Amino acid sequence: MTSLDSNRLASNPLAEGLDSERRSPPLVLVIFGASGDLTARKILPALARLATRRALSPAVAVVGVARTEMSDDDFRKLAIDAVPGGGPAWDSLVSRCRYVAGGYTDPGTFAALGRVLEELDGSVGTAGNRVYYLATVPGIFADIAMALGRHGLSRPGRQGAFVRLVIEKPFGRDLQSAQRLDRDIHQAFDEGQVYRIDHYLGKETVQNVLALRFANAVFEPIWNRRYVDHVQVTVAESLGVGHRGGFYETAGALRDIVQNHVMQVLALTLMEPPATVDAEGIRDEKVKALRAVELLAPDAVTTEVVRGQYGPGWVAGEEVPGYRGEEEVDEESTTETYVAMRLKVDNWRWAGVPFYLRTGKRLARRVTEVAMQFQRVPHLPFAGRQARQLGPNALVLRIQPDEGITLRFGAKVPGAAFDLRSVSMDFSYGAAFLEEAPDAYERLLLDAMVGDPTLFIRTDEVDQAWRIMEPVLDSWARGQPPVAQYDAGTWGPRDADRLIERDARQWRTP
Amino acid sequence: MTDGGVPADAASPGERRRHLGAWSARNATVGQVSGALDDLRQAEQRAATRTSVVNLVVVAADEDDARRAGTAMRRLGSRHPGRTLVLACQDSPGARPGDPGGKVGPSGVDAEVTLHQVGAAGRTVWWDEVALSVRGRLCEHLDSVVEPLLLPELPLAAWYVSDLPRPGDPLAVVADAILVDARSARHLDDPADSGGSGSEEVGPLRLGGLTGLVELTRRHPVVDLSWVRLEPWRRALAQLLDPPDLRPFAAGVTEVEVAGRLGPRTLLAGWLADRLGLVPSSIALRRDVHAAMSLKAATDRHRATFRVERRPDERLVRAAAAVDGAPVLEETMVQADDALSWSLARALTHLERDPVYDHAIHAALGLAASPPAA
Repeated sequence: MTSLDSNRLASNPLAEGLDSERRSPPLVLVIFGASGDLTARKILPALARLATRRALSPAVAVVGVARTEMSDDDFRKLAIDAVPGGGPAWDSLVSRCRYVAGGYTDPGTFAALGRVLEELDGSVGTAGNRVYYLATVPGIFADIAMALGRHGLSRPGRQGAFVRLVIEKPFGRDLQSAQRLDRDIHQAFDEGQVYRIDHYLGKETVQNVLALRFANAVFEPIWNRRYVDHVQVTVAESLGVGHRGGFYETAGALRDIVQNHVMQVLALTLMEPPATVDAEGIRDEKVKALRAVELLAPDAVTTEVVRGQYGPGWVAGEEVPGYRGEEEVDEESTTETYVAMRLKVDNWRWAGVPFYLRTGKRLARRVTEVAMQFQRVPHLPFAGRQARQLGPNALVLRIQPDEGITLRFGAKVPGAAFDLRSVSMDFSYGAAFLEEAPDAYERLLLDAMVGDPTLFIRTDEVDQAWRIMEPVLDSWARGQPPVAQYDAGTWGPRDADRLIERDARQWRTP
Repeated sequence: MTDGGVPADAASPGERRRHLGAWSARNATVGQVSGALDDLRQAEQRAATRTSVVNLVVVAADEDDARRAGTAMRRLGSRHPGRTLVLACQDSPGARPGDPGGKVGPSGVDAEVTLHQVGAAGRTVWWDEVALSVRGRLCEHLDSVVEPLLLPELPLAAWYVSDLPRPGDPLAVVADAILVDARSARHLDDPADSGGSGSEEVGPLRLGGLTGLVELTRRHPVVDLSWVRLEPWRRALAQLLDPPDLRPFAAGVTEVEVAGRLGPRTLLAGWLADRLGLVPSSIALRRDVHAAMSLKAATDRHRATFRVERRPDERLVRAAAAVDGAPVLEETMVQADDALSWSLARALTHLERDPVYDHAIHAALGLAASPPAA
């Protein structure tokens, strides 16, 4: 018996049944900012893991571009040093590393890059395919993209080849600058070539929100205004700004976390079921969901949004300085390290359900979660004192750490009396699967190489997220509301408690 | 008897393993074993809340096979949250399933229950292991021992370490997938085929063993651990033929040599025969410790060779293609350090029928019936 079909000339008969593993096609990965921190800390280790798992074609080469003067061998040494114990697969990829030194606006840099790329097409067989990764400061994304365009490097040079551009948040500082950045990039690259990374979407548990919602019949029917009382999204960090004070002074929590990570988690929570879990299916629904978020009126920002900044305090048993005492931070800085806000969503599913979002640095512990609190039962047939310890039902999606799901429901306390209390049922992904989940960068880098944009941010998503931020930024620029202080190691400023307590609700203690 | 928190040997770097408790008894009832599991988990609050994904039942013909499988499974613990039952049928040979003619002693069960904890990367997994020595006619009714001890609503994988289950084997009937290992199963292996290196050409599996395996795949989803372990070889060869300019050679393969131990070389030969539509006379088999495949192919204008092998001194599968004598492509794949545990983990993650495997052993049957060129 043979299962060989008549199309065997076109297909690879031996690949049958082996197609489950993703593998990059031949290509050159060009890293701008190759001598920088992001390259050494994230991109090279992710590449090494991909190489070790044989997820890269042997015809993958890497070109580093940066202002620092370095030879090919210097860059190779940098790559080896960035990944201790990299192994033979990494050594082999490093041997296919090249380096181009030069300024990002200097035509000589791009002419040299063009020559190296052509050489690699010949010597390594990279087939004219390019993935440009901009690991530089965001201010020069547009310059690099446009320079690539001017030198004819932003379009495929041969039939069937691809050219992609990967950029990382922040995508602009506000709606206007984000749109300007896109206009500049689109001079050289079509939207389909642009891969915007928000590494949160590379996290296995963020993707699990989709699995939980759309692969299970029990959750979706209650995922709406009829059953949900309100939703709390928390992205809390226990760390301070550390050495990133200089950067943070120009960003703040709203631009650094809320506009991207929080909005992405919110969009996955709000969105309608897509017809298909593919790139456009999911991204269309996310944009629709964000579009339904009601914009805050200019005078509502003072009541619906709280910004805070951490003062000195104690975190996890250690005394830590306040934000204004951090390196490279202005002693009179008004940059926010904490944001809490209440948003409304105008659509059939969510009308009337408040969404409370909060994020901050130097909070009591590091945790990211989405908590849906359900409405109370229409009539509780127990005496009030029996139900003293009974809270409303809640479904909590924990994204980090200890990824999992908690369902809180009421149970009878054993004994002769009919006392009720809330109990938590925990599911931990870690305890169910010890399979190693790929690191977010590893996952996203491979997706960009393979050409799967599902987990990347489309330009209209960026616009929608900025649209929601605009009234807040405008109001803050006028100094309203002022920045509230909170002690490091607490759950944020008192004003944030008042924001939710006004609605007779309270923040969860995650 | 409970021994709390005794550190056990390390499974793999970065993993911490502990025994959280143990219990054993001779001539135990299934109810006692079940009670011991409950007690152990109650005594250890940490283990009481846990998540399980699979039941694994290991059926061994004797204590040696059971021990071998047990070692592989303990190493697997971290990737296998669930319950493992190791059943060894001891006593007279007649006590084995499929050999009802022998002498049969009185039925009985000796049991050992161990609660394990494995920690890696800041996460912890609990699993329990139940080792049962089954005697007498009870060996014919293993399902009655197994079913009360399974974690409910989870898939059941039955690993037949020594012999294939006979048709109608009640345990196989309730299992979601049957695990076998073409390399080590005694019914498949040829006692004369020690696996030592040699240049002489030899045949594939004996017809009888293969027929049993083909029959088994018709009745149940079968996951063959040898097949899982050979995936790097298959993947490497498939990747050599993947570039568009090399693909035409897949239709022009003229000669194939497959080396390896009996089971693995049979599976690879069957796979190539099936996927490439080869006639038995174009396939030569050679005995070796490590698996290797070598193909010669031609198109109208070019000749090519494709070679995949694992060298004795490294845990790498190397693959190379040459066209008209000039090297054109090389691939290397890392092989897992503990191949048996790795294959078991993979098998438990994909408990489903693999049509490519089913076709491959069917084709291997064809090769056995019409022996390849010697």
